Order: sequence, then structure tokens, then C-alpha cells
Amino acid sequence: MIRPSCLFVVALVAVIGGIGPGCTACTDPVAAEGEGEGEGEGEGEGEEPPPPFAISTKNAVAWKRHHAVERDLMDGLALQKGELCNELGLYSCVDFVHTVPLGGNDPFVKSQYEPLAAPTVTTSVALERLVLSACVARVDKDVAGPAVVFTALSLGASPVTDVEADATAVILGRRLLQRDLEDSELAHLRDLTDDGEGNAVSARDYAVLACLTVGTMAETIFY
Amino acid sequence: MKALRPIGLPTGLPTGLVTGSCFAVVLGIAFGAATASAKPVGPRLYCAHYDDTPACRGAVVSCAQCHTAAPDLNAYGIEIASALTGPYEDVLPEALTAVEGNDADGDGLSNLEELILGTRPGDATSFFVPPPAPSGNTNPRFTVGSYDAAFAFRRMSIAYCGRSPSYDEANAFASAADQSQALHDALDVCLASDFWTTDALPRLADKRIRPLGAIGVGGVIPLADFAWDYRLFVHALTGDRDARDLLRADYHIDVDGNVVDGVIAGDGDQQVGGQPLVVDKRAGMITTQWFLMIHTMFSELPRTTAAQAYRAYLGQDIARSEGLLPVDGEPKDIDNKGVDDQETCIYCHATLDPLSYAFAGYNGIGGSGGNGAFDNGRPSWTPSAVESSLLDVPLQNVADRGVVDWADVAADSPQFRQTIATMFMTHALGRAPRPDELDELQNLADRLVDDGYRASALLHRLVDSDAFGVP
Repeated sequence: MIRPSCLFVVALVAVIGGIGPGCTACTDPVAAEGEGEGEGEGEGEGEEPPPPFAISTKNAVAWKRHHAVERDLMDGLALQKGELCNELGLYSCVDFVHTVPLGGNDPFVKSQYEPLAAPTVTTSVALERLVLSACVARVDKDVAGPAVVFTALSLGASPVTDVEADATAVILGRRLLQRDLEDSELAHLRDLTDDGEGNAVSARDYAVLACLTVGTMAETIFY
Repeated sequence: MKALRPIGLPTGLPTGLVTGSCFAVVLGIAFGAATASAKPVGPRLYCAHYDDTPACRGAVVSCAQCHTAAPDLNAYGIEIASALTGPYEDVLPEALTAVEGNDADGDGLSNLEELILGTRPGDATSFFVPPPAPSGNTNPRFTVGSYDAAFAFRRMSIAYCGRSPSYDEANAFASAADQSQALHDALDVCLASDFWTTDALPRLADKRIRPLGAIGVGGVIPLADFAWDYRLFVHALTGDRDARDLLRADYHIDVDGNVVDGVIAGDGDQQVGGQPLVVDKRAGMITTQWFLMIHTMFSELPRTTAAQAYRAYLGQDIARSEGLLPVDGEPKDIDNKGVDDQETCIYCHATLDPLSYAFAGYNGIGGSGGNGAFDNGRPSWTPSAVESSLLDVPLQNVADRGVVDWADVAADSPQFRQTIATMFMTHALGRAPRPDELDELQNLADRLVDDGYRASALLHRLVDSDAFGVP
């Protein structure tokens, strides 16, 4: 099983720091702050060297709001709206419970006539909740079969081979980020086949972890 | 330069007597005891002098340009006050010019540089330094520093289709022989999508309609139906329609998307949920039952209604000291609310009250004909006792015409064009346009005229702009 603390660290790093050069065109201040936190908590890689290519100097990434994030998850993981996060099985995370931190607003009940201008401290938590729920739903459906997304894994088996991990990562990159992942990103995701203490994780847990990691990268909500 | 309307301020300011906070009185309300003829003339004079600066393009400069909270001056205002050498109205242009080379707020930009950029010369936290050109080897994913069609395609898809382009769509776009054509073709598809018409556009309407579920149809105490408002907003800003219909539509849009004219019956004595106005009293979004009900409520002089129309469709928020164009002899305090008692009230009400007279014939909540109806029994004063005015244009016969002429003046104003362009550009970028993007914003606003005020045409121009497509 995936330890909750491990999940949190992975998600936090992925959400606010990104893995690899996930946001090569921006130097967003939110992302910049997150990089430091993530490294300090466990990565231990020190300060990243400057990118070997030109980066944007506009500092003007946009926040992808709730419904676009929701739609991208639905498209990427081949899920219906009702299969995404519902708190208590009743209340839509996107349309009701986490609407505001995900970038939406409620004009009719809360008289909130404009959405927040920038993400809040709970945005990453809400995003993680949404993405994790979607990933678990997709993995469960693929385990029940026929597999739609995790077609490169033997979901009932363990451990996951590097070939399987890379193939899965490529699929997730194309489905969730609409691009091919960099080699460095594939290497990061390959690390998820191990729980950090030398034990192999199950294929099912790897599928959830890889999905959560790719699905909560900075470019999931910034563009 | 716009011709100034005579306002009858006293003249003869002794040279050298006006400094510091004393200038506040001069700038805002002239000299001596406050009277109904005292008013802030600064914004009008300022924009006559700097009519092509961002603060005056499609707007009247805010009092905040020179004041912290009127009548207190900020650093820039104090510099101007110190440079006055004679009667305020006569020498203000000269004083403005005299301090152009100074840096009143010490932020490293001269006053003139800030005026040109559109930042505030009296606020050290308001400044802009253009970003440096990107340097380094070629970015593998983005054409940073110049227009990147793939980046624009992705931004367009998220903004107007509500989703990222798929991996296959992105690759197909990358290999398109004519990426510009592909971008615009895709935009047409997105602008017809459910996301744009039922989600994104309605959210742009929220702060203009200001719905409240508890008193909407289906709410606890239904008083009007704001669904009519949302439908008209979307209708006017989609297809090849004229966006000025936001203010000039004499029709409504029913639940099936059909145009319907005239009175639409509602429930009960107050006609709740219907639309009580005949065609010749209709003026788009600012005369729906909801708009009149929620803003006018029980007011005889609907100041809140006029202020919201001014804010929502002309971008001028009087509560923020924006758009102040005082009318001579105002405020008359025609409804005896005491708005001519204090200088701080007069500042805004000399503009606001003349804006409001045209709305006085319409009910808010209750009254003959129901909520939002035009009631010949309103208001209690003699129509000739007041003069309605919008953007320095006197409006005749509002007792009979209601706000129809108000809406016509507004719809053809640069303020309306600026508001529409700003609304769409801010939505697309996810932030307000920055100083180095204001020329493109102005171009979008100006070209609305050539494009027949079609929002779709504006959006096609927008996706071609550097602000939109340069990562």
C-alpha cells in the first residue's frame, strides 16, 4: 500500500514544484517558492542549476481553472463527470466542495461574483484530492478491465519493470499533459516503482502514484 | 482633446497660496464654503490634457491619480499643487507639464513615464519595468519572447473550449500548413461550444448581473428571474451580434434562445419572473426586471442602479472615484437625502445624481405594474427640475424615454468599447493587461467599431495579439 506521508510529499512536490522541466516557459513565483520547499522536505537535490535554454521573462503563467482541469482529467483518464471526486459520495468536488480553491466562483448562493485572482494555499490540496480520486477511479476500472489507460501494466502483478513503468509514463504524459515526457521525467517516475526503502510497490499502487504525480504537475493547473 | 463643459468655478486664486493639503480643497471643490456648485474638476481637466494616456483612454482618470483618499493628496498631487501658479482651471495643464520630469513617488520612473505606461505616479508600489528579452539557447518547447502559435493554440483551447488540446490535436496543429488558419478555425469551434456559451461567458456576466439565488425564481422569496439576464448577455456576445445590444436590446431571449419582444407576464401582482417593459422603454441589460429590482429596490432616485450600470458596462466605478464628470449645479439632492451637505458627498453625487435621473421612472420592488415596471407615477419631483447627463452628454426627456437615450450614449462611448475589450482580454490572460499590453488592448477596443461591435471579431483579433500568444 502507498503510505499517506509518501503520497503527500510526492503530490506536494509535483503540484507546486513540478518534476523535471515541466514548465519550461515560465518562472512563476508560486512554482519558484514551491521548488525550495519540496527539495527541503526530502528530495535533497539542492538548488537546481539554471535551465540550459531560454525561458520566458514575462512571469505571466495563467491559472487553469476548475472546469478546464476537470475536463482534462475526464478526457485524459476516460472518465465521466460523475466518476470524478464526490465528497461523501454526494457533493461534486469541482462544482460544489472545492470550487473556490480550484479557481471557480459561486455567484448564486455565495454571491461570489468573481473567482480568486491567484491560487490559495488550499489549491494544491484540492487539486491533489481531485486528481487522486480520478486516478483511483481509473485504476479500479482498469483492474476490473478492460484496461483503457494502464494498458502497459499487469495490474495484478508485482513488481513493475522499468519497461512497463516507462511505457505507462509515456501514456500518462500524453493523456494528462498532452506531450511526450522528458527522459528526466521518465527517470523520476521510474523511481516510483520502489517505496523508497527498497521494497517494490504493486503495479496497482504504481499506477496510482504515477497518475497522481503526472496529474498534479505544475503544468496541470498553470499554462 | 474633448471640449470641456463650463462648470462655473470661482477664479482668481492668489499665486503661491496653494500648497499641500490646502490644495485638496482647491483641486476638489474650489474655494470657500462648500456649495452645490463645488465639485471635483480635476479628472476632466486632467484627461483634456492627457487624453491619450492609458488612464484617460476610454475612461476618466480616477481621483486616486492625485489623491490618497480625496481630498488628501498623494505625492504626485502635492507636486502638482506646488506647481500651480494661478487659478486652478487655468494653470493646471501648465502645472502638470512642469512636474512631468519629477519622480514624485520615488519608484525610479518619472511622472511622465508613469503616465505613458499607465502606472500611478503618486504610488511607489505602482510601477512597471519591461521584462528583459529572453536569453539562452533555444527553448525546446516554446518560442519564448515571440509569438508562439502552439502556445496560443493551447491557451485558446483552454480559454474558449475549456480544455487542453489533446496530444493528437496538438500534434496536428504543429504540423498544420497554415497554423494561423488552424487557430482561427479552432476558435470558431470553441466559441460555439457549450463551455463558452454556458459556462465561461455567464461567469463574465456574474459581476454585472449580481444574481442572488434566495430572491431569484426558485428562491426563498422570489422577486425576479436573473436567467433572462444571463441569456441576453450570452446572446449579445455570441454569433455575429452587436455587443451594444448589451445596452440597447429592446428584446429578451427566452429559454429556447428565441428573441421575444414586449411585456412578458410573470407571477402575481409584481409580475415576478416576467419582463414588464414595453419595447420603447427597454435598454438591454440595464432594464431587465432583475437589474431594476436588485439595484433600485425601494429608492426613488435609483443611484445604485445607475452606479452599477456605469460600473458594469462603462468600467467607471464611482465608489472608487472613477468616472467623475460633475454637472454644474449638482447635486440638487432632489430626494432630500442630504447628499449636498458635505464636500465628501458632493464629490461623487455631482456626477452620480445626473446619471440616476433617467432610471427614476422604473420601479424596483413593488409599485404600479410590478417589479421593474415603468411607472408614470414615479418619481415625485417635476421632471424639468433635474437635468440628466451621461459622459457630459445631456439627456432630454428622460421622463418619457427612460434610460433608452442613456443606453444609446453609453453603447457608442469609448468607455463601453474599453470595458468590453478589457473584459475579454483579462479573461483570456487570467490577469489584467499590463502596461506593455495596453496598446494592444486599445487596438482591440478601437477595432470594435470597424468590426460592427462583434465580440467574435474581437476574440479573433485577441488570439493574434502578442499579449495572448507570446510566452
